[in-house]
Amino acid sequence: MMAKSKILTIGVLSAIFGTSCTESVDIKLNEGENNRLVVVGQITNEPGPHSVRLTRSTSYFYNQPAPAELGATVTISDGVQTFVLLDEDNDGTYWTDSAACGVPGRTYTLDIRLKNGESYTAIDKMPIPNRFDTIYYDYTNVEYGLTLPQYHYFFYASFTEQKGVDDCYMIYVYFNDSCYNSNFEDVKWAYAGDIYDGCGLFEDVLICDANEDSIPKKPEARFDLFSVSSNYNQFINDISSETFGNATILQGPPANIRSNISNGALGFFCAKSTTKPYRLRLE
Amino acid sequence: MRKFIWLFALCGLTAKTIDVKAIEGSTPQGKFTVSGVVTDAVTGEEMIGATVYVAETGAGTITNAYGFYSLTLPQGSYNVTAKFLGYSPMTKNVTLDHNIKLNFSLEQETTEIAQVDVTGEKLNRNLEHPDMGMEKLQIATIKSIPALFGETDVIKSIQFLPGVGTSGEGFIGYNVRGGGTGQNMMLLDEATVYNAAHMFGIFSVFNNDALKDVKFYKGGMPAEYGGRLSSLLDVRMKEGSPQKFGVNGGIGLLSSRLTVDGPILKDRCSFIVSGRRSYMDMFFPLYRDQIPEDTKLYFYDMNAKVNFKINDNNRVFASGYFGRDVMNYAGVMQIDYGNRTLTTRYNHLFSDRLFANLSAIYSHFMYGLEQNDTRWESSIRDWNAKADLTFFANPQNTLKGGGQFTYHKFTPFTVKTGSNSPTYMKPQENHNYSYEWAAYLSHEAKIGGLIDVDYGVRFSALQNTGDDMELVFDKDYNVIDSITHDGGIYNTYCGMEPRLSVNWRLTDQSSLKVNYQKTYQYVHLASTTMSPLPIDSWFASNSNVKPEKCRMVSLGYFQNFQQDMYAFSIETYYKKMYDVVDFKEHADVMVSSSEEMAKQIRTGQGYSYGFELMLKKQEGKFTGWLSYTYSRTFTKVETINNNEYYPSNYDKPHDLSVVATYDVLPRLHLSLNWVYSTGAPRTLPTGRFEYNGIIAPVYAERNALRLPDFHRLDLSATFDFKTIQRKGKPWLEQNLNLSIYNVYNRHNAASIMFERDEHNPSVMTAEKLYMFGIFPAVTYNFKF
Repeated sequence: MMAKSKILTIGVLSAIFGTSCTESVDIKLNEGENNRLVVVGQITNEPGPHSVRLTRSTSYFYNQPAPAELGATVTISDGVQTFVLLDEDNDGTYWTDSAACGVPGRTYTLDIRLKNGESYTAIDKMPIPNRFDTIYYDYTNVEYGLTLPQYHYFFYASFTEQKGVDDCYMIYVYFNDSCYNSNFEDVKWAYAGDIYDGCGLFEDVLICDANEDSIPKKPEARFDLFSVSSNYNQFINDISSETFGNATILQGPPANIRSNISNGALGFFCAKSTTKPYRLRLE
Repeated sequence: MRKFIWLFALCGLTAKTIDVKAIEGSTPQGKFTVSGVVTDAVTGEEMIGATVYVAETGAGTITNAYGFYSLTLPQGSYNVTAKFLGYSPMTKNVTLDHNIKLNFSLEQETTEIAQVDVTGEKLNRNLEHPDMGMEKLQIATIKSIPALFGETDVIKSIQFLPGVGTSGEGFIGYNVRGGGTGQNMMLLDEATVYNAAHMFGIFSVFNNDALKDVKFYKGGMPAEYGGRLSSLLDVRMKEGSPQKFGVNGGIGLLSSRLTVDGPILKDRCSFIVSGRRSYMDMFFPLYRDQIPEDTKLYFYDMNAKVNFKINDNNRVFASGYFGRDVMNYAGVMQIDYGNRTLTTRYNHLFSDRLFANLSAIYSHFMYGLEQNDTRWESSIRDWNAKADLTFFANPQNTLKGGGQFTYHKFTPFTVKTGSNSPTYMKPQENHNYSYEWAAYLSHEAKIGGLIDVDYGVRFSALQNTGDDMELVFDKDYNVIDSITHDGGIYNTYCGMEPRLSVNWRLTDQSSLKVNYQKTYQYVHLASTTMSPLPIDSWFASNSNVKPEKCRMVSLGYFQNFQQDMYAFSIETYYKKMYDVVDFKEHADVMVSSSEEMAKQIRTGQGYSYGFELMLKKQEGKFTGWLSYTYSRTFTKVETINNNEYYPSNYDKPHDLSVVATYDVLPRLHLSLNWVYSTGAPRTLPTGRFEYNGIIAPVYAERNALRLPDFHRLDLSATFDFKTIQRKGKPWLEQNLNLSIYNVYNRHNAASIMFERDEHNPSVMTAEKLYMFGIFPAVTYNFKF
C-alpha cells in the first residue's frame, strides 16, 4: 500500500512529461560515523517468548545484513515483574522465556547494557486492548488506488472508540490462517486519535486485492487487532514517509525517524495488546 | 524611519529648488503642460515606456502603464519627439502658450512578426533610470529563445536572467536572489496569479500572444508594489487594436493558440480574445509501457480584454483570464487546478499633469485531488480595490501615491466523499479571512542632471478576521490552549516599507546605482518543493505566524559600449530575511485548516548574498546576453537542523546562462541558449538501519549534499515566410519555428531515489529521476 506512493510519483511524472525516467546513478554520500545501536523490541499481553533485536546502523550502501550487537544484558520490567532476555543463538536477538506476558495498562521499561558499558533505556505503556464490534464486507469488481478494475474485498471494521485514549491500532488479516499482510509494510494501521475521541463507533476500511494468490476461494477471514501507543504510531508514520514515501509528491522534507530509545539509539521498543480475533466466513 | 522621512523631505526640497531655478530662467508667462498618449500606428495599442523628450531643453519622460506622458515646460516653441525601439521616431513642433494635448502614433520600422519589438525601449535606459534590478522583457526576445517542446514563455525567459534560478527542470517556479518561490509576486493586469503553471510547468499562464508589456523586478521594487519579499513580475495584456481586426495564432506539437482583436467602435473601443488548448495526451499511446490507458493531460485558457475610451480624459478597461489544467491518471486519480482573474480599471485625467487609475480586481486559484470518489480541494480568493495617482509636477519631479485593499479568503482544504466512496466521511470545509491594506507615496526626482532618485515609503498591514480558532503553543510547539473568535478583527500586523533607488550618471556611458528596500509579506506559501504539482498551501499571517520581512541593499555599476550596442553590468546584493516559513520535520503537508497549518509550520530567518554579471549585445544581427551569478542563501528555522543555518533548498552558488540570436538571413534566425548551475541541495541519507526487514535512512545535516550539476543546450531556428500581400498591403505573415531542447541529451537529475534490490534485500541502489531527454519540436505561427 505504501509503496504505491512511489509508483504514483513516477506514474504521475511519466504521465506529465512522457519522457521522464529513472536510471542508476553513482552518488557519493557522506557516510562517515554510522555505528549507532538499533533496537527492534516488543512485548505483548500474549504469552511469550518476546524478543528484542540489537543491531548496528551502517553506512547507507553497506549492502549486507546489519551487524548484530552481541553480549548485551537486556531486561524488560513493568515495576512488578522483570524479564531477562537472552541471546542463546548468539545472533543479536534476545528472548524472554515463554511464560513472559505483559499486562495492559502497565508501563514497560527496556534496559540494555552493552559490553562496552554503554546503557540505553526505552519506555512504552501497554494500551488497554480494544476489540472489533462488527466487521462486514463487500466483494466487488472496482478500480482502487492505481489498479484497473478487479475484484477486491472491502472489509468495514468497526470498534468502539475509547474516550481520552489516543487509539492507535495494527490490524492483521488472515485468510484460512495464512497472514495476508505479514510484511511489516503491509500491516494495516488505524488511528482514531482525537477526531473521534469518545464519539462511539469508529470505522475503518481494509481493502484486499482478491486476485492475489494469497487469498483462497471462499476463505475464512481472521482479524487481529493490536492496540499500540501513539508514540509507536508516530514511529511507524515516520518509517512510512521516509522509507516507502521516498521522494513522493505529498511528502515534506526528509527527516530522521523518531525513536523512544535513549542515548541516540535508533529503532523502537513497543508494548502492544490484543484480544481474541474476529472471524468471518467469506462467501 | 525618521531618517527616511528626513531624506524624503530633503530630496523634495532639493528638487523643488532646481525647479524654481528653471522657472527663473523661463519667460515670465510661466509654464504649460504638453501631455498625451503614444500609440502604435498600426494596432492603435498604447505603448508603455516610450520616451518623449524635448530637444531644446533635454527634458524628457517615459510613458506610463497606460501610454500616457506629461511634460510641463516654460512657454516657448519646442520640438517634441517620441521614440521607441523598433519604431521610427516622430517629432512634432509645438508652440507652448497654453496646455496642449499631443498624441503620437509611431510606425514600426519593420513588419516581420518575428522582429517586432513590441515593448522596446531606449538602449541606454539602463543608464538613465534608477530602477536597478529591473528587467523589461521584450516579447520578441521571449519568442526567440529556444524552449521545451517549442513553447516559449515569459517565466522560462526570466530564468535566464542573472540572479534568477529555477526550482527544477520544466518547473515554472523560480527563485530570485535567494528567495523562495512563494516570495515572488506575479501580476496579470494587476491581478495576483498565485500559481503560474500550466501542465505542471511546461507552460505558464502568460500567453505571449495576449501580452503587451513584461517588467520584472528582482530589486528596486517601487513603493507602489509590495506583498512579496523577493520579486515582482508585472505583466500587462494587450488592449486590442481600435483600428483594424487582426487574427494571429500558432500550431505547436503540444498546443495551439488563436488570438482575435479589433475595434468595437473605431478608435474608441477595442477588444482582444486569446485562447489556448493543449493536446499532449494525444501522444500518450506512444508511451503505453509507461502511461496507462484513459490517462488524460490537458489545459485550456482564455484571456479577454475590452477597453473603451470615453473621451480624452476618461477610459475604462475590463480584462480577465480563465484557465484550467486536468490530469487524470488511468481514470483512477485526477488532479485539476487553475486560476481565474478579473480586472476592471478606470483611468481619469484630473488635469494634464494629474493621472489617476482606479482598479477593482478579483483573483482565484484552486487545486483539487480526486481518487476513489473522494475529492480534496484547496483555494484562495482575493477581492482587491486600488487607487493610484501620478502627478507630473515638472520634468524633474514626479510624485506617485495611492492605496490598496485586499480581502483574502483562504480555503486550506475541503474534503468531500461521494456516496460510492469506500471511505466515506463527513464533508469538511474550513475558511480563513483576512484584510490586507497598503498606502504608498513616492517621488522620482532628477537632481542636477546627473543624479536620479526614486524614493518612497509604503505602509502595509494585515488583519485577521471572521470566525476562527487560534491555537496556543508552548515553547516546544505543544498545543496548550485554543482561542475561538466569533467574527470581527482579532489580530493585526503592520509595518513601514521604505524604498530608495539612486542613479548617478558617471559618464554618458556609465552609471552607478544603489538601492535599498524593505518588504513585508503577509501571505505565505508552504511548499514541499519536492514535486512540480501545484500542491501549494497559501495562508495568511496569524498570531502564530508573523509576516515575513526582508531588507535588501544592492549596488550596481552599469557600462555601455559602442553607442549602447553593448551593455555590461555588475550588481551585488545582501539580503536578510526574517520570519520566513518552512515545514517542520515530519510535517503533514495536506492540512485542513489554518490551525492545523500552524502545527506544521516553523519560522526562522535567512540571508543571501551574491553578485551578478551581465554582458548584453543589444543591436545588430547577433544579439543576446551572457550572465553569471554567484550567490549563496542560508536559512535557520526553529527545530530544523539543530537550529543551525543550512543551505536553502535553492542555494546554487554558480549559475551561468548564454542566450544568443543570430539573423543568418533577413528571414532566417537562429537561437541558442546554454545553462549551467550547481546542483540543488538535497537531504540525502548518510546511514541506514534495519527495522523488521525494512531499511530505513539516517540523515545528517539538512541539505548537506547536492544533486549533480545541471547543464543543457537548446537550439532553435525560425524561418519567416514571405509576407502575402493583398491590395498592396500585408495580409498574411507566417513563420516556422524548429527547436531542439537538450541537444546533447543530458539526463539532469530532478531527484535521487533509493531502491532495494529485488533479489538481495540488503542491497540498496541509487537512482536519479530525470525529466527530459533530447526533444525536438516544431511550431507554425501566423498573423493576419
